[in-house]
Amino acid sequence: MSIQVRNHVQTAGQGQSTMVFAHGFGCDQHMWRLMAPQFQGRFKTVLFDLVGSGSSDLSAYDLDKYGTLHGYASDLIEIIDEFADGPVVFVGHSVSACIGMLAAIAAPERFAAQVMVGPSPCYINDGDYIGGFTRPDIDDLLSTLERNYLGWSSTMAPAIMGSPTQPELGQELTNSFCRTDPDIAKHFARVTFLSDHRADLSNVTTPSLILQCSEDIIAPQSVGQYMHRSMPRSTLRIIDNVGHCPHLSAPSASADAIGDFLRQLEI
Amino acid sequence: MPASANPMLPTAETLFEHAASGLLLTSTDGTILRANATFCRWIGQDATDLIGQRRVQELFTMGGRVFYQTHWSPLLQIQGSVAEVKLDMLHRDGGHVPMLLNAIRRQHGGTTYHELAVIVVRDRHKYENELVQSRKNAEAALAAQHEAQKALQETADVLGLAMQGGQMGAWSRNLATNQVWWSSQLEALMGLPAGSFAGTGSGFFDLVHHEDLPKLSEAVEQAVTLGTDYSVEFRFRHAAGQWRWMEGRGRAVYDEQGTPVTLYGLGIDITDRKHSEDQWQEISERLAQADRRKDEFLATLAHELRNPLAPMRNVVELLNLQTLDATQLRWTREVLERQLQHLTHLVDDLLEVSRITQGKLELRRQRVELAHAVQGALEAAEPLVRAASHELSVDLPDQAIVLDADPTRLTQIILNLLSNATKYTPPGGRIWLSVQQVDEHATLTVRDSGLGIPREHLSTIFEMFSQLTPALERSQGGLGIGLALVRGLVELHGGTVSAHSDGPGQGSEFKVTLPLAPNHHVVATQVDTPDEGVLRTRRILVVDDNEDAAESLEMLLSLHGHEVRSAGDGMAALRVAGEFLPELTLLDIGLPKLNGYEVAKLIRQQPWGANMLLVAVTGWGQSQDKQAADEAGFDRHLTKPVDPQELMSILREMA
Repeated sequence: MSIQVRNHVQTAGQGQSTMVFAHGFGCDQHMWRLMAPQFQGRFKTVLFDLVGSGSSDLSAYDLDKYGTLHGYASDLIEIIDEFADGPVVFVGHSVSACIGMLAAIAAPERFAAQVMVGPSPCYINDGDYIGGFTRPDIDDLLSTLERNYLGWSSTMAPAIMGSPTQPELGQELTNSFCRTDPDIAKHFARVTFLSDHRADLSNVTTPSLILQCSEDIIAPQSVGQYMHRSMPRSTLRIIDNVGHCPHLSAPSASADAIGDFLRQLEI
Repeated sequence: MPASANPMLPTAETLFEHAASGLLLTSTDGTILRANATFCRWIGQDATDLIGQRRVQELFTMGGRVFYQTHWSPLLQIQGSVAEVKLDMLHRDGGHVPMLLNAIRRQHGGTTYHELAVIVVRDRHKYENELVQSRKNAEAALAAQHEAQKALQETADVLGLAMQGGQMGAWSRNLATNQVWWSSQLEALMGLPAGSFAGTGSGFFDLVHHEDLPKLSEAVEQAVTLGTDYSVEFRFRHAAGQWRWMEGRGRAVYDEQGTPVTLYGLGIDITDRKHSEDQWQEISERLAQADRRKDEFLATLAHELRNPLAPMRNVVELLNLQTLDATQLRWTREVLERQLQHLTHLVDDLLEVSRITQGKLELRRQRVELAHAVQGALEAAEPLVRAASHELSVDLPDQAIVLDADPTRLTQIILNLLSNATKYTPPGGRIWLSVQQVDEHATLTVRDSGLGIPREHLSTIFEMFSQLTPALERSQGGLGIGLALVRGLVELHGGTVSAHSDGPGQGSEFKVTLPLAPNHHVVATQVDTPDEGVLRTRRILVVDDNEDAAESLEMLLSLHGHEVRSAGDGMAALRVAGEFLPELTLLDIGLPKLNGYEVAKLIRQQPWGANMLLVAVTGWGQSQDKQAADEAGFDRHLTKPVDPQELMSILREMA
């Protein structure tokens, strides 16, 4: 099976360098629709769906391979190898920030820089470490996800209301956006929210931008500070934003922060 | 009712506040800007504590808050709406209120707001809980079923392997429809590709040997009638064409009325078992035959030993009763000599054959001219041939044929063939002996005009104890080991022997083929026979606990002019030896008090015994006896009864 089909890889833009965008838990590459175009003048952009999400090939979802984030990291390296020439600028949201980090540790030569949007190496509180969640919280989340499969995947699209300000959002988008196989979503949620990659942070050699929201229950500021302390060559930027998706709700501020970071690296 | 505003209708504000669903207006970051009374009541909050104070996501449980960020917000931002999301909201008292939420993102006067409508869905929540629980149960049941199926499959696999290993296959037959099911193992046993069996009763019966069909049907019918198991052996035609044996086992299953419904069973390929049963049968027959031959042999042996004993006893009686003149004495001596020689020959043959079969016979090979061995055998056979009035023709080549062989054994081979020919040829018959060189081999053929050999016996004639007819029916007798001995000796020499006959009354021909000696062109120098006349007088001690044996030997040696003493046990032997200082001691091994080996060792320790010629005399000429004799210090070894000629040659060698 081709990597393009497996991960529904989409390329755009012109440029010497390549920027690769990876979406987080819950949605798909459409999350980058406000962000990626801002870089397409200078970069070739590569967008893709994690296997099990969006328009990826669900038949490629292997419970063992994707039982850890390393499975996704090896896919990412394959995507970079196939769709990028030199070292890339990687932008990963949420869990994909961790996936990018694992890939950058495994193949540092393929990464010129990485941008971690709302990352967290570990979601569950552990002693002095404040990840923001207790184990019962995670169980509640898994239960919430499970309950919302019931109507979620089948009724979401017909219930969409018109969006007069953004008429380009057509039927095709609404049919696929944020929908996935319930069993895969459950497994992915467990793998994501029970992962702990704190020990990997110090092994990162790639210059990294940690882009955090000022109010984000999924990645509280304490997590950003912890990561900044642990990762060599890291930069921490806080975006004034409530929520977990600054690339959607604060795309310009996010793009500016990324632009500053890349300029400093002369990329 | 006119469409104009009716002052009796509630205002929009009242409708908003007390709508049948909770209504909320928030800013894009979730901050609550308006909340109706219905909503506030449902979650036990005052509107003033919510409006401008709280974000809607903060009213969710933790799972809902995450969902709000990972799904809700992106959906609202990208699609502009969220529908039918079910989340738990927190009541002021800490309880959870299950709610179903719809939301739209809309602009009012240039500002973007989120409008939410929520309803409490406790029943649906319970119902969903049931559903979720049912689904979990169903999943668990499915998983358990998968496990069970897997275990069942494994069991079936193991059973299949076991059946395959045991050469078994299973089948069943529906007695109503006559439909037959075969396991793949059964098809494999029949040599059929998997799935190719016809699935009918006749499909099976066609493969059964027609002679076995009746007993198979009978066994099955009887078992079905009586409700018992059946077991029946029959032949079936394997797909490869050959007939194989099968053991069929089975029984019927009955319905409540007692009508047989289904027949179940196993087919077991027992062809190998059948073959081994046949082999056992064959082995046991061979053993029985060997046993019979041995019995016959023992009877023959007794008879053959008694034959020479009778004339000997008669002669002894004559010697006791009568004063005989010189002619009569010579006759008695000749009788004794002949019979003794016959006895000795019998016992020698027996010993040799047993030594050959035990692999204990060692050849003393040397370069031998075949003609010399033939000559020796002719001389030994001459009295027998003459007694039977046979005419013997000998054809020897002019050129000498040299073999690397044991001369004694070579003579023995030829003598046995001649003796055999003499015995199996009626008096006045003809015997031909011829020798030829063919390439690197010598062939020796003994042919007679005698009884001949039935074709069926040609292959077994060289086996131990094989005789054409029981010995007692024949005048000539014999142990039936002569030819076995010939074959054993020939094979020891690296040769072959074969028998040929055109049938009873047509005479027989035995052909021995032996390899020539390396460098056989060089003729062996003939060993000169020493002159018998020049024997020096020796001092000889004879030790034997058999008084007769000791005295007869003493007498024989004295007649040749030697000075002889005798002793009857080991101690006496030592004493006499010390006084008499013999040059030669003939020492029996099985002696009372001290055995021969011990006596020999003690003699060798004496100053006078070091150079004495010590000759061991034993009953059994086995090689280990000879070795023990060597170790005890004996110079030579003789086998009982001592051959006077051999003893004389030892004396001659004592120059």
